[in-house]
Amino acid sequence: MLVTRRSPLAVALLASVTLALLAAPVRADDRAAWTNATLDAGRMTRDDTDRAFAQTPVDGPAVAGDARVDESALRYYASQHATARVDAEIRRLRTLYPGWEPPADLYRPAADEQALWDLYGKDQIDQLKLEIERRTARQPGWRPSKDMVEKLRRKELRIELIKASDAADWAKVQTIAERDPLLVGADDLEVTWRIAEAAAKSGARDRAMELYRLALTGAKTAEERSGTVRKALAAMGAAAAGPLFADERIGPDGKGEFESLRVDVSRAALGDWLKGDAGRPLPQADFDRLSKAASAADGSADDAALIGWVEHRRKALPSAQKWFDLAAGRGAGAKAVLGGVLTREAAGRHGDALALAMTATDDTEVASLFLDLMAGDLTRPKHGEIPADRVARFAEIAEKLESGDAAQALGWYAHEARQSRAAAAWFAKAMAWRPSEKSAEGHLLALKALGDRQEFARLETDYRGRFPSLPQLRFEDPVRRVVGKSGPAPQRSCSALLAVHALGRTGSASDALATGWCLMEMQRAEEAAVAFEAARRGEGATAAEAAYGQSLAHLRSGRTGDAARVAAAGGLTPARREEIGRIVLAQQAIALFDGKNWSAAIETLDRRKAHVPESRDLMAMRAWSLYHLGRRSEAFDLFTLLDRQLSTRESRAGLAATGPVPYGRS
Amino acid sequence: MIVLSLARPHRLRLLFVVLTGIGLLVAANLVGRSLPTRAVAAARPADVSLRGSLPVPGLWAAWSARFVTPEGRVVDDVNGGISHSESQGYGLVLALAADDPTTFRRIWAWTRANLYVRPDGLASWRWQPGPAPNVRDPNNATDGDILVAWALGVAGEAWSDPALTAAGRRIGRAVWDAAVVTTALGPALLPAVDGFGTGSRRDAPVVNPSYWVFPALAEFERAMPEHDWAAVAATGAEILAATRKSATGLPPEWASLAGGNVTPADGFPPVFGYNALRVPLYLAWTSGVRRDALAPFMARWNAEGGTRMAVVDLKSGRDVEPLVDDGYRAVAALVACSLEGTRFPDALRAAEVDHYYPATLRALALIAVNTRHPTCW
Repeated sequence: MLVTRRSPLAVALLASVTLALLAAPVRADDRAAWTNATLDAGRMTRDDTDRAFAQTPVDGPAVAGDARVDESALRYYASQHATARVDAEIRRLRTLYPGWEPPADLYRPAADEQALWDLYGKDQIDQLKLEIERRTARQPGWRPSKDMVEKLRRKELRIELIKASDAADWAKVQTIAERDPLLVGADDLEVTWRIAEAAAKSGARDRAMELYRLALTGAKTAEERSGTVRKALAAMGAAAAGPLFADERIGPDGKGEFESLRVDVSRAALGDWLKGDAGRPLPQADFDRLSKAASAADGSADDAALIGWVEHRRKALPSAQKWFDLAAGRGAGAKAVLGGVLTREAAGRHGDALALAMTATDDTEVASLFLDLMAGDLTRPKHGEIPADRVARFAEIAEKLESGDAAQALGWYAHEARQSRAAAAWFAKAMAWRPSEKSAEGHLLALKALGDRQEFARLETDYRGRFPSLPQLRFEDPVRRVVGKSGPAPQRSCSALLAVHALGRTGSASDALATGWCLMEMQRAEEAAVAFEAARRGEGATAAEAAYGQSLAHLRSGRTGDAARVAAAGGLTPARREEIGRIVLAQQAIALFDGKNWSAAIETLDRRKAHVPESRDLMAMRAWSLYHLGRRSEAFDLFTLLDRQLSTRESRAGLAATGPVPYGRS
Repeated sequence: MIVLSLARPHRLRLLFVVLTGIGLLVAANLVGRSLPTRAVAAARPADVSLRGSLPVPGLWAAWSARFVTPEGRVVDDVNGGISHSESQGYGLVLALAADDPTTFRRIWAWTRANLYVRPDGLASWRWQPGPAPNVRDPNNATDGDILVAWALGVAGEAWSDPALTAAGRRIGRAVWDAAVVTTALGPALLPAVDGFGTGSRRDAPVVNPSYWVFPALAEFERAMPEHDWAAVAATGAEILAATRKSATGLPPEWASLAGGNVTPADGFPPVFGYNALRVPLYLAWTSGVRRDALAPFMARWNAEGGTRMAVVDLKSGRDVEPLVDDGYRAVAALVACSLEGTRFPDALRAAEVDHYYPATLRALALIAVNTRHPTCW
């Protein structure tokens, strides 16, 4: 029946109507057929039927469709929707022709409802219902046709079913389907698919297959057929939906209509295999099928990449690389690059792996992988020369991804290159992004090398609190530390030695040596030079170390020439001679720079650079010298490198001065 | 029946009346005088991002003012003012839901500088105020790491920040590598790296059902498909299905999966309490309707006469300790919304906050309503 739900309002209405009617007088007349037909069609009001019952027949009985009855006026009024006139005309005709019935098609519901069917066709259900309400109000006695009511109800159920299906409420979908079995049909694939899905997901596999078969049979186009099988695969999985493939039609070119679906199934199977635990056997048939599809001229990039990953997992590295390169060629993007990098790395081609990674570091995953692969290079004990662009890119990505591990690697790299300011900065970032004991240690070492006693003390407390097993680091004068590694330990305490020195006593050569070092630590370089001079009287190692100390003392007090002279003559070890030489060159370069002797300064820096990597300060000085010489683009390149390693106020100032206008120069 | 006893004309008239009445009924329904409907379709998962999804902006202002220090530490005011990876994780989720990148970054900066000190890339779970060392228990808490990784991943995408995305992936990978173990029921989440797995205790493996943050696992499945996060989520569903068969139908705080069964773990009170309270929250937050999963909570809490919530002793089935805060009620309201479309009460939409845990649960429930069941709003 048409009744859907009861509402209290309707029940009350029904009750009141019943009571009202029962109160009216009863006429026992046998116009049953006429009355029922009229009432059923709802075309007359209660008043009219009462009046009709009340009237007495005048003439002989007439029948429906009687040619004697002129219905033209009646039909005219009906077509004009002039209900009052229609009613009056009906009464007149009935009086004239008792037994006459108003024609069944008086209001031509079929034509009348065209507008409604239009709305129905456009799925504008709310508007349709509104229109029905309007018409019912406008034309008392008018009702939509049974057909419309039925179809409207079905449509509403359909909408409810689709909503429930979207919400994954399988039980509700099936309940609605049961309410109206005609919802299922070869005509309405969408609904059939959804009901089948609900059945499948609730475990009613047989019912689901039945529905999918029904859909397959009724499907009109190739898309609908393969769509049906696709839905079945998604809902039930490849194994359960397999039997549907048996209904496959072979086309004139010999290819089955479901071939692409078989490829989809293979793709999914391989995806699952990749995700699963290691050791599961490879689904060979699926692998072969997808490989064939991927290697075809119109194969997709993603499929090629997928095969690449499968081969990578199976450790078939050359094959994997081939597939990844194919995928990259087809534009697979970062995923293919990722695979390509990993296979090259696994094959031991580290440089190639890094080079490839650098082409796609815009992608976060590739960038992360690049960081992981290169971090070891920077911190290996004898890493040799690493291309500057690689280090620069490494630093850039470390900054962009805020990678604590990468920052730590850069810290150690800078530390080893004696670039303590850069090292300190990178270790500070490492501690902010991924604190660890090694980073803490590195940071403190760098601060020590810079001689930043205050910062050292502040952070040492903090770091030791967080990493109790941090090794003890004493803050010492950097020069002293270098010496302390190789020279003999002082024999007596500094205060005692200095007391002796103050008295003007000379003491032994070794005492003089120790005194010299004490004076250096107390920043009394000129006096230290004198003490070292005395110590050079000693023999062998003592004399050599005294010469070394004296050179340093001369350097400290700015007597570069004297320092060089002593270093050349004093029997220093080659290493120490070189060390002094480097400092001498640095000081000479600085002096030249201060004297605005740009090219000489650069020359001196070049000589120094032949022996030791250039520190940031000297690099900056070089860049400024180039700038003053008018070699602006070279200066810019150098500032860019500096800025990339570590962006500071100084490096940015250099960029601003040497760069193109957008950097802010007027 | 009246109809049969009447004489024929009466019957006909009554029939007429009945038919007319039916006709009117049909007309009434067609006209769209709608009756109360049941819960409507949930939003599709891909459509709704966590970003900006907190529907009460004043609530974030109050929560962050009260619980987030200027350094970005989220303070658990009931537990001695400590911080943990869970509170930091919830802070990140709420900051993202409030679309507040500044506070988000502050919270993340503190979290990674103070908690992410383990070599395996997971967070040490607990930070206490006072003299150093502030981190005394190096063990992790897996739900904290899951929350942090979830928030970082979504934030990285929402605010186009590759550093956040990369960090989220690293932590997600770390969770998979160190805290996901194979069990008879499938791959499961260990509550922490130490102390819960095979070899650590007799009834191992022991899990915490409320650590299955289902909306986060769904996001992991989408963003990190190289690991089978769907299987992890399915294991969680299996565990809950098993606990539904118990007398109360409620999950315990800590469960042993030994022997392929799900039983309350030794050494922990066998109750459904503050932890497990989050299970229905996370369930109702995921896409898809899970009627039977939420039914036991609905039955327990939304009895006639209003919401009644308490910590439940799972052996006796009795309420042990009432849960009165609005924050807990919000979870019950979310469940009622999810199952029956009940409108989320106005009283639970206020901006004021009291204590950390219930305030957080209420905020999360609001997000869940807004993103999953908008018709309840």
